[in-house]
Amino acid sequence: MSRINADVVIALLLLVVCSALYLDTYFYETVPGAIIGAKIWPRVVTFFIGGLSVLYLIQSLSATRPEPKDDGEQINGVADWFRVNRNVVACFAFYGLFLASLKWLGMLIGGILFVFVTLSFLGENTRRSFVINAIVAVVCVGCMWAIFTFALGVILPQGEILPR
Amino acid sequence: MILESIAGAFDAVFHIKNLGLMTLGVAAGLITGAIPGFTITMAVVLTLPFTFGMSAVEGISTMIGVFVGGLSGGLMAGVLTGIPGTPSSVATTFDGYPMTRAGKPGLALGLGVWSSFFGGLISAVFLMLLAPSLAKIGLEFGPWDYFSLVLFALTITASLAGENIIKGVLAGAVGLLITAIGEDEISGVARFTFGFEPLEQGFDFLPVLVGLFAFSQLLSDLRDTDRARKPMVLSTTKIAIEHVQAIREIFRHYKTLIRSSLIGIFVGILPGAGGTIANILAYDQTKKASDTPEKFGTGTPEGIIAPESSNNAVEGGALITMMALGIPGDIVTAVMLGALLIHNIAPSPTFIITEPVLAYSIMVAFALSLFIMLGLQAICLRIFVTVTRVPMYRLAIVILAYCAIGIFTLNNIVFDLWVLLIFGLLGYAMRRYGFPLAPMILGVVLGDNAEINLIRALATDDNLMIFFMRPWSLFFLMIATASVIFPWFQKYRGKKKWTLLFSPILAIVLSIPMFMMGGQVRPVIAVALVAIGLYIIYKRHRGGWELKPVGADEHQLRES
Repeated sequence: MSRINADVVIALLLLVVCSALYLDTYFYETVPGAIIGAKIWPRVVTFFIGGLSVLYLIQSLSATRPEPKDDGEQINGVADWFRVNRNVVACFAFYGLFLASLKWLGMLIGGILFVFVTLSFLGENTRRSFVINAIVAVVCVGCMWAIFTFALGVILPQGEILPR
Repeated sequence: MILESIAGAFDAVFHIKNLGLMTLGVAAGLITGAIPGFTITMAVVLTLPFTFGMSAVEGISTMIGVFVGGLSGGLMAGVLTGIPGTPSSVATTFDGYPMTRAGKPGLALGLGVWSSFFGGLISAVFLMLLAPSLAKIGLEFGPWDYFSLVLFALTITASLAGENIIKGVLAGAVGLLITAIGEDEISGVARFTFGFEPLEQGFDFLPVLVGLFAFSQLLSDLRDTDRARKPMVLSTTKIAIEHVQAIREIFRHYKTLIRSSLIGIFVGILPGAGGTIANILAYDQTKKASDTPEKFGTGTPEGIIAPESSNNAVEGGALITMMALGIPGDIVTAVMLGALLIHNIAPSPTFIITEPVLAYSIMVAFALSLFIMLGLQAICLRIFVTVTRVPMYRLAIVILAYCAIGIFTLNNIVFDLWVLLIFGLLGYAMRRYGFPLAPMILGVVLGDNAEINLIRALATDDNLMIFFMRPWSLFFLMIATASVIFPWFQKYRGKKKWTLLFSPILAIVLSIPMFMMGGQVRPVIAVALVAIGLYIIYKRHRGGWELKPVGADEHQLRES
């Protein structure tokens, strides 16, 4: 039975990250006159996480039960993982694109596009559904934008398209 | 002085603007709590951005309104559809749904609503009586004690939040690590920034929290396409809540109400334990104490009174811990603590003395929101029925867009939105791989406090043995150790002999710091603890150290 499972990978990853962070503390300057340096707390925490990661690794390696499958689904390979997590990956990707385009599209247009595109991706592929998605996107994002801009006085990113 | 503070609190809470905000908060909580998949914590987290422009009293009152509404809203879905709206109302469905199917949805809702109201009211009374006394104890704490208290809060949250204690403590420690990123407040030295300038300010609490909790929760709800597209169809005709009959039933079962409320308060006081534990525990205890346990699960009134009164009583207990010790009693009070920090108010053992009006306002707002909840329940029931027709994916994506706008308002920088996305990813991954989020959030909230107190302790004396020599510190370290062992105790209870010694030894060991504290009352408590421990050992010795299997009911409840 393969002992390499998700828990082992996570534990090893945590150990690597902890080691890197612990090493980083050696580069912190000591402020003259300081009784306790800025490095103490980060060292305590990274050391603690490192210790726990070792325990986690031992526990994962010694576990006899098989690795629990994702909601009982059998996932074989990366392609299968993408198929199962298709919606989540798409949502993260659309959200990332929305953030990256904020500078040009602004919160109002970017928000409407994000909601419309994501709803259309997740929803049914019918004309009626697209129309409802468009209405939901314009009304909901428009209302939120108006509340924050006019009622709460927040200046949201305007982008390059809308006139200032 | 106290009367003046209470008068000031009433003045602030009963201000017309505050009343309006609280009503909105309770209504939003009732609706959000009723939608399965949307948790109360998520509702409270999403309320945070709106509170920036409010005063501390208004902000906290609104969040308390959302919380009380959310707890009561959870029962609507549970009773009418059999799907609990929130984890805090899981046990309510055991008898609430059968009662609805038996043709009494009005009574089931009435029992739930009024039990929530009475449970909350009992805990509000305890909150007013206990918080000031507990705060006096908090004044005895030095940095050593406070640091050990934070450790205890993290370990018990980790212990109660998931099956794997190591994953829980790891999550809490990563929460502490997140607070260490950025410039050190004392020396200004940049830590863990790797030359990336935006990280020098550190992570703001809100985008981390919304990302970890709300963002990841919404995406988990969207994972399954069919489920995300399907509206939560609710085939319901007009339902009228049967108030009078419900109140009569509750008074007939007043013992259940009081016992369950006390369980809720106790669970709430424990850091990290919330309504999810309280409602199942109260249901279980009521069933054990009942003369007719076989009726449970078929629609008995006690099966609704117990979980609903206990889950509402939790918040009073959690607020006691937050106000008296500066430690959040549950994840919702952790969010509230974050909200107070945004308003530059840091709850600590001196909170009630330094901010008396705000402290009493929290108590008054909690009691008042229970009355508002009663008034709004019938109206929100209609809205809930309408909301259930909207498919989950539409609600979720609109809320994601709201998250972006809300988070941006915090500092007006796009970097916060990227933080939201990254912590959303982290939260999602943690959920998938069985890491509980509650300890991590607690770590984020308490990280700065833990660091400050550790530094203060070490600056005073670098002898680490002081942590074991000061009575309160020793007390917290002992119960922290016990909370780490607790999951193994639960796992092997009834199977291994050492579990028979766990509680008596804990009682005897805890008497040591109690003796060390001195005074008149505490040594008496210490003697009582030793006596109880020895008595249990004697009783088990006489019984030949016989292992009794854990009840089948308990197994069933745990699985539920």
